[in-house]
Amino acid sequence: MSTNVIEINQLSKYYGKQRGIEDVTFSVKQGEIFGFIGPNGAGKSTTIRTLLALIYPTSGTATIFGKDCIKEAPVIAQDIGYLPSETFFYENMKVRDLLKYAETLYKKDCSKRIDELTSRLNLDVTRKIRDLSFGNKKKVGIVAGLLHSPKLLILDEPTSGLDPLMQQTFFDILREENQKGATILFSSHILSEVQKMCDRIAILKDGRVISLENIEVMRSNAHKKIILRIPETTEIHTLDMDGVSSFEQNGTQASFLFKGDVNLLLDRLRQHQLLDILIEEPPLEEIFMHYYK
Amino acid sequence: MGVFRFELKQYKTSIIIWALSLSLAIIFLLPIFSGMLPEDKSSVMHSLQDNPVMEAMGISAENFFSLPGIYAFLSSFLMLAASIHAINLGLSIITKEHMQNTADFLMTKPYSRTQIFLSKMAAALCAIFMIAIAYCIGGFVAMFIVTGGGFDNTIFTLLSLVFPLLQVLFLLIGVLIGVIISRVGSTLPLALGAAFGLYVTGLFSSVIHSDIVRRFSPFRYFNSDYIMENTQYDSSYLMLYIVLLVISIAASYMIYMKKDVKMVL
Repeated sequence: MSTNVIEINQLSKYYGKQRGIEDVTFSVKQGEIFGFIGPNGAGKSTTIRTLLALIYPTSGTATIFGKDCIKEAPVIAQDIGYLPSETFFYENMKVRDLLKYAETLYKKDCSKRIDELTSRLNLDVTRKIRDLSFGNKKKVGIVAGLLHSPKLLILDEPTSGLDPLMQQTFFDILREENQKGATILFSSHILSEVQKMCDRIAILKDGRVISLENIEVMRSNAHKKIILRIPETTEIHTLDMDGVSSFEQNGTQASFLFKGDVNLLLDRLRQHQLLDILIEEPPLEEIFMHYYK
Repeated sequence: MGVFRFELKQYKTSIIIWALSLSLAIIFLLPIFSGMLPEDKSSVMHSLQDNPVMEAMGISAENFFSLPGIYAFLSSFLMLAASIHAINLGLSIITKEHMQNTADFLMTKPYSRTQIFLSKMAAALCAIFMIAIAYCIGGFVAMFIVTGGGFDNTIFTLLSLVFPLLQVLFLLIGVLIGVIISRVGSTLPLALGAAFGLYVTGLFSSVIHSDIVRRFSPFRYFNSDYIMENTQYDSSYLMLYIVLLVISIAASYMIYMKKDVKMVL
């Protein structure tokens, strides 16, 4: 189970003098859903486009299925499904003809899969691409990316333009593909979807991987957010203990972040008269912001 | 095969229209022009001697008033139209993936860049040859209508072959421009500009009698006077033609292979 499908080793890409990515190193194991997050311009797409041999790295190497992703790109491509953040197709073609064309490019009979996917996504194949809305074009992209039952799915911000219902269907399809054995590399700047889907994530900032973590570990290492409601007369000021940060008291409400042993915290809190207490797991957004500070 | 067939299909209508219009043009124009040939050429020829317009066109009065001369003259005009088409085809077949942002779709398929490049080249050449064949058949029919069959086949063939030869070079010029500037707003103005620019350079070279300038205009590589007088192509220009052909295809291929596919913005 632990063989790596993608291995990226000190990959760098410069556009002239402009940095794309620097020294990116990580690997994606077979069968996992790997999240790849970072704000716009962090280098997510650059990494993905290098993996797909659309652009050539300045230095470093990357392999997919153990093959060099630049030299053996056409061989690798047979087993990759790629969904770009914005999908574009030949505007004057009908959806059906476009999918047929994609099928011939894979030299594989995928008609059953096409029918299945288009009906599930509610996609009208008789329409011309130019008449489709952004969301519907995205659906064409999803079908085009999945029709050949790829072993590796590379998704670059795949959910933009899909309504919540379709997103759900899309995630369901992805999970099924994953259960069938497909490995998924999922890039996004929307953390909740990464949180929902992924086993491990890499966080990218300014072209570098700044953190590579298991999502569970990441959460357990993270701060808890604690909100206290206190009687007006009480003043806590600061709790005066290790692990407390961002303490704020505003009238009858105090809030702070805590990292450490919760028993110690509860002991400490017992010394005060409290009206209410709320302990929250901070959303990934906040953990994420923490990395970006 | 997939890419080749797809590309050819995309240009189907344009191929038919160009093939029909060029071949019909020569079928109708040649008899009309040849009907205007004067009975007694000498007086007209005398008055046209050293005429600057004839000079600019690069055809002598003597050759102009012969049937192959008229064929060559008309062909050179129609060639201008065909060159615009060829440059435009070369430009568009390469740049359209970038213009429509479909490069991401095509280039992530199990096709190597070499395969894609060669398929596109093959499709474009196929399109060019279909038009050229239609034109040459049109030319043959026109000559047949006028003469009833009594014309010099070798000269006719040599004059007719200039058409596809130049088309191929212009196609490759278009491809080369296309791989260098992969994002052109619109291909047609660029194709028009390039074709007219080269054509005017050719006129200019004849006016100033400069062989150096002539080298910059493919329109003047296959001089019809020379062909009619020597029943062959001028070998130095033929060499230049072949060199240009090889350079443009090799350069295009190398640039195409190395170029990053720009991100969709």
